[in-house]
Amino acid sequence: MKTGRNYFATYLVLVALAVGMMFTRGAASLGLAAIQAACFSLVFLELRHGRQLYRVIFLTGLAFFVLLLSICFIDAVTRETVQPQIPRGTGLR
Amino acid sequence: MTDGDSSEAARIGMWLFLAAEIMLFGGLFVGFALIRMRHEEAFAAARLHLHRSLGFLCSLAMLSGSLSIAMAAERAKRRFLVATLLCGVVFLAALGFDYASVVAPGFRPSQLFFGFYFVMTGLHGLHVLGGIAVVAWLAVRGYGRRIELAGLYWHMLTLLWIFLFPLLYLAA
Repeated sequence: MKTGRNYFATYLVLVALAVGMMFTRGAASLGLAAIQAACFSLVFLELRHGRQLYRVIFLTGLAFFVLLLSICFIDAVTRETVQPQIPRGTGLR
Repeated sequence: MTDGDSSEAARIGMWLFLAAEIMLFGGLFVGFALIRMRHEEAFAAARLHLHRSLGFLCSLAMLSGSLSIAMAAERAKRRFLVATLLCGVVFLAALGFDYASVVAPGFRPSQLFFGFYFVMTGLHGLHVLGGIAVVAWLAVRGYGRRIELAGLYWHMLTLLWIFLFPLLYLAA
């Protein structure tokens, strides 16, 4: 029954964070979401007490997501706008 | 293979499926973030058409569904499963109301934001519909240890919504 109480206590914290999110914007709301997700994963997905293998699988999925995110952002930030080079005399200018 | 082995194999299979789900939705999140970088003002303006209160209601429904399915696994009582079902229905109803309010007043489907909005929430809603079907089947046929797998699935949907809500409804 102790676990049931843990679930309920965590649920109240998560609802409070969701209410907090309603009054925030931008990075702050995403930050609250990250805290909410961490609490949720540890208690409801049982990453805190579950088998090591489950943690490895979950974190591998997350790592691939972070890899995708970072590579895409690096590409988007560093890429220069390409101006098409149209040869003179082609009548396309 | 013993019952314990098959149960463990099923759990590992479900975790692998959930990791694949993270990557599926992860691609959408990344696409959304990249397009938003280039069309920040258009996204901020389009977001005003959404109802934050309905998004919040969806959050409450998903969190409550997770609580009730965790309690169903913990205490083996059918009424908790029925509560999860109700939460799923409330979630879909709230999403439906939001869709109706967005589509009604001169909606232009060409807007990039709404392309992402409908794909991301629609895909999530389809997953919730699948979750409702599984929970209803378990409630009718009796569940045993399978409820833990259904619980994992539901929790993953809640985890995804935790990020969908601020990304679509709140981030300015």
